[in-house]
Amino acid sequence: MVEFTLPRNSQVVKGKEHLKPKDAKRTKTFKIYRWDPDKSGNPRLDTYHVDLDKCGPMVLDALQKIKGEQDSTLTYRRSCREGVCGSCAMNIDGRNTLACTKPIDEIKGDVKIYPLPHMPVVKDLVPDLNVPYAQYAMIEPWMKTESRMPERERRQSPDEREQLDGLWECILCFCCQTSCPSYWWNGDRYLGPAVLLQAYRWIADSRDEATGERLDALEDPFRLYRCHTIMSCTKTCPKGLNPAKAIAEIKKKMVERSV
Amino acid sequence: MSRSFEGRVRGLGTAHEGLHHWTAQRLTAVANIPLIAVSLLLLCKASKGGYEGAVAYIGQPLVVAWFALTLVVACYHAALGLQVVIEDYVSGKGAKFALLFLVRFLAALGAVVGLASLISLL
Repeated sequence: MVEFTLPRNSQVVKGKEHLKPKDAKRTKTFKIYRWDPDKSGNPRLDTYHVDLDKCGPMVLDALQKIKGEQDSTLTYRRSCREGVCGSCAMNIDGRNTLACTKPIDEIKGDVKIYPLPHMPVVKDLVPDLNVPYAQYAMIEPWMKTESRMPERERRQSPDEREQLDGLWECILCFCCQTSCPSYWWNGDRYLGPAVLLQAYRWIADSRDEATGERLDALEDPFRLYRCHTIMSCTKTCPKGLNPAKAIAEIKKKMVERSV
Repeated sequence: MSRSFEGRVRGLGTAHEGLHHWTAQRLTAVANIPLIAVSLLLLCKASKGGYEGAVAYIGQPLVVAWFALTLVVACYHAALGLQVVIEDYVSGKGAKFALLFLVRFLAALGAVVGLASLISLL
């Protein structure tokens, strides 16, 4: 059955509170999920206070400041710090987003930070993304062709190229994937919004010659049709993309080839 | 868990179905709007003449046909919808199979009993 409650030893308990910085005039409180696989015990919510006058504007800046100045054991992924790599995806203030593009001043009250929901946790804010990565590999995200290799690049008209807008921008942060209730309940079989958007990115590409094969691989009650247009994916996407629409386009293609 | 992530997500492969269920669910949903709306109107009309009047009104061939169509489409739609709920929330193989069978059986039973009742009014 679906797990509506947390498994044993998963209840988040109150954690440590770190001291407020001295002489700070404008502080913000951060409550951050902590779990260490090397220590037994439940996950906890640690409290940190950050001096906003000495911190950059984004949530990632605050995390860096906490890690650098208050608690070096705090663990999270980050890389580009400009919304391109997708590493720092986490649940901030109840919504999956990128810490590097989420301004602290958009959040009222304390800033609560958890890892992406419903994924196994490796440590603190680092989720285990092996399953979505394997699902991504399964849709074969590369151009497949049968025709002879042209002497120069495979050409596309501006209109054909436009079909890829809203798809190529996906950075695979999996904010949408882990916001989808259908993916929470059936993530082992449902491909999820991020992977389906990527699948559609190749279905929509005029240069690709394996559209039918790609549709065949998706025609399944679980792989594709677990999408119930809940739209959490579209609401949460930090890049402003619309995975729900991409999934609807795949469903339309399925109808198109059957009538 | 020894199986690789790649093996796990590939599982038993694709079932090559789902499109029929998806389109049927949507078509029956749209069809249900006029079917149920007109059925309610017919029931309101039928209820005005007391028991005898209602039986006589509903027993007209076209009214029986309308209710029969509504009943079949609604039962089919209910079975399709409950199937989705079961697939979403029940992961145990035995329980899933049993519930899917039960839902289809009950939907078919409801439609057949309803049709027999309607025919008896003719």
